[in-house]
Amino acid sequence: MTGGYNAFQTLAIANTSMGAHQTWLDALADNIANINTYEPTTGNAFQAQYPIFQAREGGGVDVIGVADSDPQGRMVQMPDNPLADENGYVRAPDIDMASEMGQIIMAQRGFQAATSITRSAQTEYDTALQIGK
Amino acid sequence: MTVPVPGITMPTMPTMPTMPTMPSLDPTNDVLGTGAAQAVQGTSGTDFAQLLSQGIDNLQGLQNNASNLAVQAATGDLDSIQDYTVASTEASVATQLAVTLRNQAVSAFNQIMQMQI
Repeated sequence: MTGGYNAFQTLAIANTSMGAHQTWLDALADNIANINTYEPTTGNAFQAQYPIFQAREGGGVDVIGVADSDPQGRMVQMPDNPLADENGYVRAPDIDMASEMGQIIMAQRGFQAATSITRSAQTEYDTALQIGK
Repeated sequence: MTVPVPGITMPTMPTMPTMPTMPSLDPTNDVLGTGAAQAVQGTSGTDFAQLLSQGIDNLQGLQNNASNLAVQAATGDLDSIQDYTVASTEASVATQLAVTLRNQAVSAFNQIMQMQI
């Protein structure tokens, strides 16, 4: 990513962290966007996506996959819904809004922390460049 | 006696293979003779040139990377903003470092040139 320029390892690591948290935020946005997406009982419910992080060899973090929520979802009685079956049921996604909002805060704070790391790294580089002046 | 010579060639740690030539500095040779001086000049000169060349190559690569990402940002093809900001920071800091090194080298050269003989 940085062409093997080890002087910028801090920035490269922080970059992977920002990318991972960005992926998490994207997934959460998609989950929340579809929290009211209902599917007929004949098919799968909308599956929320949760990225799986793994530490990278040599520093950093990778998104190695995505975990999907239960395809069964929650059976909800909605007789007015045009997708409802003869008993009035539809499949709602198995998403907990409170949990999603909590995760958004975690992802956003993680992104902010990584940004703060880049700021510290820049200060560090500036300080090093002042040596001998 | 030979301590000041490695002291001058600070960036020449990889040139340790030249150390076996040190035993040739027996008392019959003058330590500051032309042979020793040329050897030191030769090794330090090529090494500094190599370091400079590698540094410029690295700098060029970082700047190319940042330029490509800047074009992607302008055309809307950029996937993640932080890729560009990090790349541009790297290029900027590396350029500052190169300029600082050049200034220090010129400063050292000027100090030597102003030396009273």
